[in-house]
Amino acid sequence: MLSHNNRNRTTQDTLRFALIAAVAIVINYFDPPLPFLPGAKLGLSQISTMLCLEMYGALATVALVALRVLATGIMKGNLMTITSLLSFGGSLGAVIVMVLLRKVFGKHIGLPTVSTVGGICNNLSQYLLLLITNTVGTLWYYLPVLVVAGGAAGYLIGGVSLAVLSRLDRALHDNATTEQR
Amino acid sequence: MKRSDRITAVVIVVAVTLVVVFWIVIHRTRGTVAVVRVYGKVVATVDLTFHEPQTLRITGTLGPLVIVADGKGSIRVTESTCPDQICVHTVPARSPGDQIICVPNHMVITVEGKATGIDALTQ
Repeated sequence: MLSHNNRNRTTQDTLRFALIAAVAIVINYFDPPLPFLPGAKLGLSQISTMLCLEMYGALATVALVALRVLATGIMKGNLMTITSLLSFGGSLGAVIVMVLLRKVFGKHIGLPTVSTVGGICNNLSQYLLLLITNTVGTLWYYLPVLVVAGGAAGYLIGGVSLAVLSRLDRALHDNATTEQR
Repeated sequence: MKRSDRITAVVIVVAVTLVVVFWIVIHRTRGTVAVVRVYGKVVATVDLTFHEPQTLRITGTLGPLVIVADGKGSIRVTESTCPDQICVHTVPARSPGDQIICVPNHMVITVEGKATGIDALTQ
């Protein structure tokens, strides 16, 4: 498994991290908005967040999120607006909760479950941010929809991440197993 | 994939089903109605979601008006006995909050109902 070999960060790791970040930025740029849920996106770029979390740990993931928000903000021209703040805050909240979840439950829960909680926390922290910044009034009736949508999207993303991780493991280490995740 | 993941999947499917059912139930009971008033008094209400075209003949302060609901959700004034014909030339009303007003006849058509849909979506 990638995260559990006791070697220092190598050039290879740096390159892989950069590759993950690049993929995150591109996917984030083209992430389609959902037509039936105004304001909601599938959040496909979080696949790279999950990969980074599993491969390189919490700090690297925070760096990844910051890089993604920065690059997407510059490309779309909405850096320093509420959009970027929401993107960053949501991912940050999700990452913190997912790290805690991994710490508490260890390997008893799988990646899809972790990702589900992450998706929910992503939407919850965005909602809290909106409340704090007073951008929207109370939108309590929309909250259950946000939570469920976040959970569903998170589960899908967790599943995809799991598939990608197992393929990556197989490609990078011939004898690695991913049954542990 | 672990056992906890299967449980999570089941929970998500149940939750999504509940929310979708709830959402549909909330949105089904909502109708859009046009209320026609002359001098503040309600003289007619028209269900805009009704699927047959309807023609109303009402009497305003100056004289008769003909109001047509096209059965596709919009309502307009086709004939009026007023000098400027502003109500006739007003864009047909369809969304909650829309109004058609004929000042000489003291006639106001207001579309009522809960506002649905969104004004704009930024991407």
